[in-house]
Amino acid sequence: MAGNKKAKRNKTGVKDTLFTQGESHSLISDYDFRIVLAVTALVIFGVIMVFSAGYYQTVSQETPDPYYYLKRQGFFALVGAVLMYICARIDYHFYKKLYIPILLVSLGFLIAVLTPIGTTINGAARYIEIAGIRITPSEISKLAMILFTSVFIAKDPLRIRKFMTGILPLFAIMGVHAFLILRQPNLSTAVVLCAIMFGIMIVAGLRMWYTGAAAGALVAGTVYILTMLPKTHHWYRRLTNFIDPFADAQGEGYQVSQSLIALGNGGIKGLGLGNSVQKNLYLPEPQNDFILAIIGEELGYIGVLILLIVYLYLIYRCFVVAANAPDKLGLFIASGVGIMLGLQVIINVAVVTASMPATGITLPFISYGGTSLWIFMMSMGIVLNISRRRETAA
Amino acid sequence: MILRRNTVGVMNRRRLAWGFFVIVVLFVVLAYRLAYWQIVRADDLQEKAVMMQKVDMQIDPVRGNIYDKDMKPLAQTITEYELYGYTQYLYKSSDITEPQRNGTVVTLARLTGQKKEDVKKILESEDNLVLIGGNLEQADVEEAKAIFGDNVIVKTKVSRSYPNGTFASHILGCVNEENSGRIGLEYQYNEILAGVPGRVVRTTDRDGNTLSQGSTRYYPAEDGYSVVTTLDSVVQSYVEDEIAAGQKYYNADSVSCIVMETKTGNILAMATTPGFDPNNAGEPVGEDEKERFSKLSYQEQSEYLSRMWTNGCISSLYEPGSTFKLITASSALDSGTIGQDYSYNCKNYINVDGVMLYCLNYHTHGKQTLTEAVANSCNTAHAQMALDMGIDTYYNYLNLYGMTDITGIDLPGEASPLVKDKKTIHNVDFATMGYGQGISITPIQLVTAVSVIGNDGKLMKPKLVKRIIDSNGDTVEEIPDTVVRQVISEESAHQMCDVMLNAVEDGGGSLASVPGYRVGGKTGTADIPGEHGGYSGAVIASFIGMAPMDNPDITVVVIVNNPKRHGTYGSVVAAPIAGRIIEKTLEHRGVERVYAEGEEEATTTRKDATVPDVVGMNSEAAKSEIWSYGLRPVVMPESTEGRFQVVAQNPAAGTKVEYGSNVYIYSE
Repeated sequence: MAGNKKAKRNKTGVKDTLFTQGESHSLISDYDFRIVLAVTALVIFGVIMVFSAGYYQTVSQETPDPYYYLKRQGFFALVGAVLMYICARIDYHFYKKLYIPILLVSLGFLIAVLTPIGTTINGAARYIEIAGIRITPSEISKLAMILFTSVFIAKDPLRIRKFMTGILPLFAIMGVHAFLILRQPNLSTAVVLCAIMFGIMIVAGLRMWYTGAAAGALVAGTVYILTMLPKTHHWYRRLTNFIDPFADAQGEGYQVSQSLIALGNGGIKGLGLGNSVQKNLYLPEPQNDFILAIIGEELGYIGVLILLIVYLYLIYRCFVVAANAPDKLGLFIASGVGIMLGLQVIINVAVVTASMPATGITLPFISYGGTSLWIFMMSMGIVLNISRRRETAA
Repeated sequence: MILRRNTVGVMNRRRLAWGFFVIVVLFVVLAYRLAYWQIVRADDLQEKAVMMQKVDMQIDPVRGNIYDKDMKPLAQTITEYELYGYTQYLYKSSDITEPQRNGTVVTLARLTGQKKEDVKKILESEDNLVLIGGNLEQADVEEAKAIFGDNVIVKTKVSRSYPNGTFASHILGCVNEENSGRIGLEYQYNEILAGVPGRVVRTTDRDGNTLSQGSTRYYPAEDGYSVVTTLDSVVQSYVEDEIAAGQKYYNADSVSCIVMETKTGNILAMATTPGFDPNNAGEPVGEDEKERFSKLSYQEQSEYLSRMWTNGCISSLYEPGSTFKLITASSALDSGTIGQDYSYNCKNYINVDGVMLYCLNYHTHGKQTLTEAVANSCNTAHAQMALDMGIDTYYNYLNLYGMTDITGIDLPGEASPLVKDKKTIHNVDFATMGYGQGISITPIQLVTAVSVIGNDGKLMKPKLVKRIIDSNGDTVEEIPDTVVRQVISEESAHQMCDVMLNAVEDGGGSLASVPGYRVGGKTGTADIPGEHGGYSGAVIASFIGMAPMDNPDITVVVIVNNPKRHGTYGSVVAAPIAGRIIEKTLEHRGVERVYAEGEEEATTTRKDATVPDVVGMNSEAAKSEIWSYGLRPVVMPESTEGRFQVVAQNPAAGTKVEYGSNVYIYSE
């Protein structure tokens, strides 16, 4: 009996994991269908939650349009699906030829947003409006830099051990991007972008003392802010206020306080889909970066936990695709996407739960907004393409 | 070198695995963070959410009314309507044509009962939102709302109203700004009258709008119950008129009077001068007093108000003087210390432990029966009775009569009597207590105690409220008459009735006698204790009486504080007031007059007041002059407002009229 089972398993092939490479996929498609399923679930869930979270704002406006967010986010999702499909069909080696133009486009957008072309909200230049659609350049830069970094290292994997020709150029480009994004100003996106690039470099084989140095720099910076700066300094307050948002619940801590109240109000089981009270003008822009608080209020801890498990699974699949990629380029791109996804979910949840200072990082696939959704769906399309079985492999 | 290869190496995979491990660890940390807020802190946060999201609005209950015994409202809650309007949309906007403006003015003038010019002036005001009219009927504001829609706003104002002004003010009391009882019955029965506030708890958005998916809970207000008092408005007005006239006539500091149903303890009337207007309790009544009041310091004003609000009938202690001899005599009789054959030889003094106590004006009464001793108000006889009873027996009767404790009447602020300690009292003090000196009690205590004599020896608990009813008029609680205890035997009580009757017919109380009504009673004149011990020189003239003595119906006490004109003795000052109150009250209550032989002829209306000449005087001075003669000024024609010069009067000056009659003064 045992032998029979073993035989059967050999026949269907060993599943691919982070450590082992399977021989074949069991589905009709050549692509990793589990990624398609997870992304589809997240996007549909996101459309529903954006509709729910934004509903009250749209009906309480002078000209009520209850379906405003449903229509908008639904449209973004459909366009995103097309983009994801296209990206899945494009051989990822194609980006090898385009890596310089991609870098230039990324930088171009980031510069453009700082000029009068860019639109300013809350004192920060964040997007460019093209044909009625808001484009957030810093979102584009994230994917652009995943592709650029991956191609740059994959062209000569040894660059990662060469300071002058490999590491320094990457750090320089990283620095220019960070500088431009900081000028918006958007510290959190700058940090995420640097972290993604750094992550790809580590996967590529960057010496581990760089990691130590980076971590050391972070710790030193934090210590400097906490010990050397006056307690009234912007950075000091930014770094410490998150610990007790209720201390300034009507001021800087307002949004996070409201977010925590929403989470607590939901409790374990939640108030039920559509029943959030906090979305009724208490929590500002509940459909954006703080949508997780509304999810927590309506679907409870159980709902949020399931969502986190789906994210973790999707990240896992990205890493599996990376580990099983046919070549280094696929490895780097897929890991970059996995790192981007993981980082954003972690930062977003950490902000919503007052575990780190408040920043403006979207919840992947769910927060309202076209650019963010499209970038993530395109990234997933590229990962799908990498996951594709090729005769050339092995 | 492995790095050079273009395939995924072991190092790459190992680093990917580590990366994923780090991500998993962070996810677990975040799951804990979420659990902390959603599970550990959930209660605390939900409380915060409720505090922020729920709007809790109180619905005020309607305060219950206070009625007299015939269900006439003495205090009531009324709802007033005020009409506000936007002048811009009603009148001033350039879109509105002139005829439309006129129409608006005419309609609003009709609905608010104002002149057209006044309404026009209001609408031409610079402010957009203005008060068009107050104190309106519900129907009128509803019509206005129907015609002008959102251009007008209706506001309701709930207020406490005392329709009769100063009438029975010390009994009713008043409410504070929060419509909660401050003094009098309003305070005593506050919980019953106030009702229970209702609440609306709504879930709202940040701007306070009610949410459709939120819960709205509505707890209706429970309106307060009303109380039906034992007060007889007719008797109360007799009393108030008499004591007001008496105060003027005798130029007294104040006059108090209580009329009680002898056999039930029900208070029919109770009043002290001066009264106040519960509708505006923070100010005295009368223009002159108001002006005087406004010049006082804050401290003085507050003292003035607390004095004005004090119900002397229950809160002011005084020495009862000779009226207390009824208590002494009845106790001596009931205890068997003296008998039917009592006889006492008054030598005008009595030596108690070397201290000489005298009768009034050193009068020697000679040999007297009990009836004569009371009628003569013989001090020595009553001092001897107290001494003969002994401290234990006498104090026992004082306790039984309720002289040592409050009566428990349903009014706040009843004063506790001052009675010297039984263990330490000296014989001299004890002997003087026998004729009502050296003991301080309240009028309500005396009237309650003396009623024992007319109620077969039973002490009743005095009360003002007999029934509590709900807003439909259904009885919630009936408050029964309460017999506190048997104080003296029925026989002793009957004997004392004769003694009391005799004290009026043949004794000092003769001015209280009423033809056809057998009035019994006792007068009293007591010195007012000075501030620094001893006596001040001023007196309190009082009379306690009952009628008709064959079957007592009412007990009346009249206390005139510091009379300064037309006499000072209780027999001269208080007895006539009591007599008139007794006569009118019994007549009102339908008690038939029973004339003794030969009495009827003597019955004539008492023409004991002479009308003064007030023609040519200022109206206020004229009124005061007429009052001071024990008469009542009436301004004619009734519509006259403010001060005026009196051009004529009726009856003419010098005419003899019945005390308390109307004197008409004419303004034109």
